[in-house]
Amino acid sequence: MKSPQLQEMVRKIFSDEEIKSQFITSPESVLSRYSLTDDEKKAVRITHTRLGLASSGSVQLEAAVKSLLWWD
Amino acid sequence: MPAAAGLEMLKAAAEVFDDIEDADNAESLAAKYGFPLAVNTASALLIGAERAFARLYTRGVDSKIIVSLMDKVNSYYLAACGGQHLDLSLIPAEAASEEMYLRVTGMKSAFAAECACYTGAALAGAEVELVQSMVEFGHNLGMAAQIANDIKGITGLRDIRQRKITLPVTYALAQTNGEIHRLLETTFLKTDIKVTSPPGLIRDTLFDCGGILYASFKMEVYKQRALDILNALELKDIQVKPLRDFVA
Repeated sequence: MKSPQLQEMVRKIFSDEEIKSQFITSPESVLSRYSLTDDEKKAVRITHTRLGLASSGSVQLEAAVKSLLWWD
Repeated sequence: MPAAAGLEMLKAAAEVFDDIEDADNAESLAAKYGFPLAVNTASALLIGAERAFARLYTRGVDSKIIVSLMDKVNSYYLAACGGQHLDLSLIPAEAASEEMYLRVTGMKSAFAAECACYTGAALAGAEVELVQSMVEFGHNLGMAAQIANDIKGITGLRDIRQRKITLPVTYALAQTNGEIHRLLETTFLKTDIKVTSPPGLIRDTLFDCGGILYASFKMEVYKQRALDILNALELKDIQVKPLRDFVA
């Protein structure tokens, strides 16, 4: 299923420094502005806890991405 | 066990044929040992799979159930051929939408987990409703696993070098503009043009526009759906702990 609101939220996080900062410190404050499904909200909360913002150069990046790849 | 062996051999055969058709894996059987040997190996695996399923009879499984199971498994793999045909037929611009990515991934990748879950549930004599729940569990698990694999394909640069359009790329193509969009277009859509940008730059671009994070969210959506199905089954006193431990 396509997720237009989730895409829009991610786009805003990575294009607006203020929203990015808000998402890092308080993801719920950003989540609440978008019409996400319950599944999407849950996924964002869990992924945020595990991965943070997943930007390149992040110190925790490799370890965080590896922790997602439980399939391997 | 014979059913598990049969499914493994079918999956292995499909992967050999897939590598031949895609011609993009230097580590494939065809690349390392040649096309004729790879085709012959895949053919042998297909025959081995059929024999493995037939051997369920020696384990006391009713022949009608075996025939029904083989028919269902074959229908899954036929659908997978349809997915591969779609994937092979698409031009990059057609493949570059999330809807198409999810559709092809469902047909080509998630089906294997669906098929395995169906087989296990059917052989265990599960009721139709439980079989259907396990099929849905398998679908969500398969989708999550493929998206996770696609994330790894970006971080490890493999899919960038192969210019493969996966979920981080479909997100990035839809959500970027200007120079970044042109960079991604050249890399993934204009495959007749040689790419001069280093793969690491493309990887960083996909991270920095949110493509990896978006794919991570989507992966988690499917993973949580799979877990929700297991939790619902547990409420009906179905033992799910081994599966939940595997997924969680």
